[in-house]
Amino acid sequence: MAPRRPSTSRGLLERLRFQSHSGRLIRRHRALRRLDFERASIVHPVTLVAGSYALLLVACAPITAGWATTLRFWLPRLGLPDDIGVRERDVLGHVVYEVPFPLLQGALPDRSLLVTVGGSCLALMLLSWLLLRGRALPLAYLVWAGCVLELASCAMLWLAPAEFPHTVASHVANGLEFALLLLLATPLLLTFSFYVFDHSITRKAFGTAVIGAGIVLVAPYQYLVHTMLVEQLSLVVMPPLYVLFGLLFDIAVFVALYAWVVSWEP
Amino acid sequence: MAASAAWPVNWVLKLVLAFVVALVALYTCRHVLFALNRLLGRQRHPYLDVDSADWPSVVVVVPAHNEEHVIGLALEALIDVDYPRDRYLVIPVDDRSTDATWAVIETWAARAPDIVRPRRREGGRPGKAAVLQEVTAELDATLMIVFDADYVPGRGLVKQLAAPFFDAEVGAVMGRVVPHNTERNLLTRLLDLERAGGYQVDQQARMNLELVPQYGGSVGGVRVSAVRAVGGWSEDAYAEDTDLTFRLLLHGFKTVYENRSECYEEVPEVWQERNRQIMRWAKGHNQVALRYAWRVLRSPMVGRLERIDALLLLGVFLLAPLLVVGFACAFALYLMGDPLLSNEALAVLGVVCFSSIGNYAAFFEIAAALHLDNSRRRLRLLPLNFVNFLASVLNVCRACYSLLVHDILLGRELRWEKTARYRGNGNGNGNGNGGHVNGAAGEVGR
Repeated sequence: MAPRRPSTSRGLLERLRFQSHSGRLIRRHRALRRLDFERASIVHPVTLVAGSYALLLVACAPITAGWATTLRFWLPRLGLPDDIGVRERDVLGHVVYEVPFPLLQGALPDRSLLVTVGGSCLALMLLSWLLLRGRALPLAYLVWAGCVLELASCAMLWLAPAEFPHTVASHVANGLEFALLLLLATPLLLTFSFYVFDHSITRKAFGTAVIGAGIVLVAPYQYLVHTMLVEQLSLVVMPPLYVLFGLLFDIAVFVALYAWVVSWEP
Repeated sequence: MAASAAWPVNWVLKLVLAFVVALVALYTCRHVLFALNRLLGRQRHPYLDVDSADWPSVVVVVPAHNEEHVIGLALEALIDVDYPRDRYLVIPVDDRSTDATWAVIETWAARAPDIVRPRRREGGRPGKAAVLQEVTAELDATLMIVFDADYVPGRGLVKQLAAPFFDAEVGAVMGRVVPHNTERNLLTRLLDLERAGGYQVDQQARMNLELVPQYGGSVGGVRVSAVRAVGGWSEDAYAEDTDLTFRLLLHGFKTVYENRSECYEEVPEVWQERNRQIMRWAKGHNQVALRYAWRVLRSPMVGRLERIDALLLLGVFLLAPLLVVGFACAFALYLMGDPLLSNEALAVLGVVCFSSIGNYAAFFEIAAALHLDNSRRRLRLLPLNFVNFLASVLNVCRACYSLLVHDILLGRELRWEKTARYRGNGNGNGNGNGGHVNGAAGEVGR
């Protein structure tokens, strides 16, 4: 039986295997490259997830309070009343979080406005088909998606305006609640998708903070813009705002920041 | 009253939405598993060290239709390949070109008459599958390697692709396709991300886990006897490569992925061409799903894990129309006032999963691929992949409609379409399908 090689010489041999004649590192070909499963592969995710949730536990209330303050600051400056309501979520009688929203209803559109909006959508679809068919074709797809959603909303508000179930208040509350849930899900999402990479733990922690801060900072302003648009243009614009510039926008912010932090050098 | 009348509709919408969410969650798990396996798991490259051997006879087939601008470079590289000369043949096939393709082929054939044996087709069914079927019928070689005319192989590539065939159960081998016109515009950059995720992570993970890597039609080879045993190339298939992958699987042959065997291709530079490409892939893939899904489910030749992977692979292009249906249900529920974000944890989980994780998993695959490729800066384009996703979803839906209505209901015969080339004068047309693998982003996994 061959004697066991000392771990130090094994480490040395391993290092020499990847050392060029000039002493530099010979990189493994990308086809064969993989990440080493080390202690950090377990320690980093566990530490960061535990740390993030401990922080979120403490920061959740100040975050939603900050959103409420932001709404209260900007609403009067946009010419809107600054009355704020709060939606509470509780588990087993214990309040988990409170989401603020402006106490606004939003006006129902009259039929002439619906005709104008519907006609504009059709014109926009035609125009985008004519002008954006070349290099900007996906932009045309986006325009069509928005227009289809808007036309469906017009149809709904034309046929049964009284049945339209949403108000500015419920729209903002739903949106901010989704942003909060995304924030709460962030450490878990990053566990498999960011913490497994070979970045240092400080970079991973900073990256998590950047993504979290992005969501926290963007959300209230995103829904302030929604509030302003609905108050100006009536409830007819709410459904496309909810779908395209609500959930999807939040996810786009998350993905953009994720892409940026993962692109950092380890 | 209105509420009671609406409740059955409401529940149907919720059920459909729940089904779509569950399906997206299933594909999400698959993406995450593949990415984690590729990053941290044991990597299988069993044939990488085969360097000297009693090499089998190989024929490299290069189907070409109007490829005057690109085929010269491919032939030059193929002549220079490191392989025993007495066992190596290149057969460029001019499939009714109307440009100077034949003249270019003849020039290169004259320079290496012992290796290059050109063929010219002036009749018969057009298209790559027909060319391959015709050549296969007359071949006197052990292996056939297929390159599109715009692919430029390295010197060692043919040996690398031939090595796995020493294993008797290997029926097909696929190499990695790397776009070389990445820097052209946003579209080519996005497609580069998609290819990286598809090959570096998806295909290699399937190889690692002994699942079903996909033969992509180019930068790959087949065992001639295996192809003959499973009935040759399907001339009536939109994706003859995927069709062959599944017939080989059903007959007990394995497809091997060689991540180290890289070859360079042109990706579409304009959206219209990209749309045609994704539609052709989707139609071909769904055609294969309709033909073989049931047989894969019942075949004793397919292992349990292979069966699951094969069925998920076959369902990839059905996900797009289902996603559209899911979104429509979610929007209808929104208009009906259904509180999507309710107290019920399941509903919250479903919405978050449907809206974010399902999309996000594909992004993770791309991130893992670029991390391994050591080109992390390209990751900053990731959010723009939504654009590619949206275009893919719409065009895959169009392809599904076309397959169902035009091909199945109206019985229209297969129409062969060419892939545009951009090298040379930039307006040429090619014969190739462009070796494809259903990459992470191509799987509309978002």
